[in-house]
Amino acid sequence: MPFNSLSYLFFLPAVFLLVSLSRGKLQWLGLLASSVAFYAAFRVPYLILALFFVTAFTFAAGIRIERSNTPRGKQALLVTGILGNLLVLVLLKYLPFFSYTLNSLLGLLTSELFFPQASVLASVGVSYYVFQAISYLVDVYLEVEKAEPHFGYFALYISFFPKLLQGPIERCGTLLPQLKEPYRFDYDNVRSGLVLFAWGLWKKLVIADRLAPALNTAYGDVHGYSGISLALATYCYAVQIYCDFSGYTDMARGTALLFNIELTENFKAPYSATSVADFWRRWHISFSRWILDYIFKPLQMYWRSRGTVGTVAALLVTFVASGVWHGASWGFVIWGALHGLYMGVAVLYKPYQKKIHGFLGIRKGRLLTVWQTVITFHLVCFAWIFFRANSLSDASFVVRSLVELPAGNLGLASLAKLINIYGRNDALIVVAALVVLLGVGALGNRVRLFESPVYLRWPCYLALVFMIVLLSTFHSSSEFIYVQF
Amino acid sequence: MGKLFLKLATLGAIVLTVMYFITGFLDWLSTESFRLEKPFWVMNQRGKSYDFAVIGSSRAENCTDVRTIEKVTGKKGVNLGVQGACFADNLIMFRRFLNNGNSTRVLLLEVDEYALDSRNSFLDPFKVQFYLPYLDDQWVQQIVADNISGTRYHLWRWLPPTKYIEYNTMYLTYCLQHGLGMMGFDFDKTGGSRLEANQAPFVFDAAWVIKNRKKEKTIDGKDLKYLNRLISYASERGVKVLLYTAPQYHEKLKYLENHRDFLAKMEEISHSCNIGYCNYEYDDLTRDPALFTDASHMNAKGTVLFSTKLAEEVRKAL
Repeated sequence: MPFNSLSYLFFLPAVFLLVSLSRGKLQWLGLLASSVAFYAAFRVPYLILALFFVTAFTFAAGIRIERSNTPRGKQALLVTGILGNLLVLVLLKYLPFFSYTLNSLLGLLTSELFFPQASVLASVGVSYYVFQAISYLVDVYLEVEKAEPHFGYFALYISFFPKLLQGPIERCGTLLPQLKEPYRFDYDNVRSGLVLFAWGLWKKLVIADRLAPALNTAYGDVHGYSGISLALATYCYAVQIYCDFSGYTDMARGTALLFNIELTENFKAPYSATSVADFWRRWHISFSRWILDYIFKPLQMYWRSRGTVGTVAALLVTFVASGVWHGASWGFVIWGALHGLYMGVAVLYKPYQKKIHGFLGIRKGRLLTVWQTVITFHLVCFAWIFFRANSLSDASFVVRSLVELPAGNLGLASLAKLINIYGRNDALIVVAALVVLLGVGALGNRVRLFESPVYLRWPCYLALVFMIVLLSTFHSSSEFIYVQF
Repeated sequence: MGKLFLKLATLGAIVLTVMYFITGFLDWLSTESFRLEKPFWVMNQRGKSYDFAVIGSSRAENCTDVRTIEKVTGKKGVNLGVQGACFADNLIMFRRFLNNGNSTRVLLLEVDEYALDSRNSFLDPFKVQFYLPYLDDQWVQQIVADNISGTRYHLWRWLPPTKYIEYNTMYLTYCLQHGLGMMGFDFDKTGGSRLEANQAPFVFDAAWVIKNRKKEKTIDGKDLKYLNRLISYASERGVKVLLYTAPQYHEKLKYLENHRDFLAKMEEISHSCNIGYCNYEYDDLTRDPALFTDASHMNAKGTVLFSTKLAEEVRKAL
């Protein structure tokens, strides 16, 4: 059940009433039942089975790890727990990719299929809760957290519906205690939650979904476009994926706040980052923290004797793994590898940065910050090309077109074609919405909406509602991009 | 919690009041003045008398030239065809046309394999977005209910602002264009026909046809039901119906799975309703690729030649 669906509009108030009206000890049960119903709404029975398996298996593994007396036993249980979870992920998400790749490689020798081509199964939400389960097992193993003895609370921690489909990937230390708190109606939380939900919905429906046709048109037929139109489509994608994903996260956080639960803030103005490392501190924060803690740090420790080279190698492996997590495609792998490469180069460059800046006469200041932001944004956009393109050959065509841009091959005719297909009205609405988004971002924490007087607050509420009602693309609203990962 | 509900109710009441006002305004404006899009142009015609009217989908709108038929017959006509329209669309538009004080003696109804399998043939088979202002009309309501999901229908019916919320961009754009006095295609000048402007030479590509067909074509029961209703409705209102099928490139017929069923069904309808049927799918015109813009649509030159032939049937019918 996507957050931007009509059914969710009925589902959410029903769950809110159910939890508000149920007595203390049964509140977790209300939330758990609602979460299962929310997931079951996708009508894919094996997904419910997978969720149940991951929950039960991780719950049992966590308790056994805690009870195990020997370090070797603990370690074996941890490995078993992680492998069990990864097995679910591989079966649901990567099997079609593996069989396709093996068949393609072996197909070079013969035209016969060696492995039956696995169908692409729906794996909505699986990568998120599997990662959450793994983090739980590692935390229990490292004795950072205690194993949860109550199966109901643990099941709710894994399946809590606001974060089930697209995260944030929550650590048990932050989410579990909140789930155990008896629910008490909190007007401020509910108000903040509703406004946050509406803001996320606005980002999704007014900006992301309105941008989608332009870039889908260009990326759907890259050979029909060139130069500036492909550059524009790539910028559009950067904005779309941000508004789509951060919009979802706002809606998830808003929903959770209705139940007094604070989920991790997943985005902090990522495109204002001044380096790729800074970008990852602001983009999909719960995921970047996860890969930092559970992939990068152990690898860095393992290769610590190799110094900077070890760190660079750890970064590369971590980001390739992050690409693979996004999906079984070479485009994602290259996207991850590019980010790893950016970070690795930055690590190697760091010791010489001061000297080079000094030599070139570059001083710290606003101009340098703007320059770094622009460069970072373009590096991120370059990687998005591989993330978004339908195939590697499409991606390489886009890159070639962009490389030819400075040579004067602007492709203005294809830009006119793109604008003609897209429509000026949509473009106008998106530009206006982006101005609002940037304006709100610039105001940041300087204006506290809920503390301002009613004659300022209410027009803001009304403006938000009317912007959603009048400017959204309800008729052609698409599913959230990150739900497929 | 009471405070929250009170505030939410106040917010909801303000939003709904404004939205009801906007809904009323859009209902009024679109039924009175919108003419930029063909369906609105058809449904906003008022008090005009014609000798013949053409109706159907793109092969009526684009491949039948009213002005050529007028020239040959000396009679006055109008083209009510709309690209991608199914028979349910045609029925709603034709009824609005008659109810607005317009009249016609003969209705030339274009029927083909595509219109009888609209869900597999057209991108947007039922053009519900154009009937939003008419949902108070029980007759329109019933057809809309039959063609869209129950949830959408009931939402629109009982909470009218939701219909314009769903199609907000479209109606906001119309308002903007209308306010700015922007003119779309001049249907008044052509009598509603929109001849294909594309002059590029046509080459039949069988591989493309096979690749792009969505599904095996059948005769859709719903399309057949609305075709029969349209014929009955016209007959009840004293309008003589003449069925015709516009030419399509002869090679294309091999790839239309429902072609034989279609011919048999047309024979049956023509016989049971006692109305004429002219099929131009085997006409000599279908063999000349220079007369086509694609396999199922004639270009301007082909349309004029075909309309001259069709005019003879119109003359006989009048």
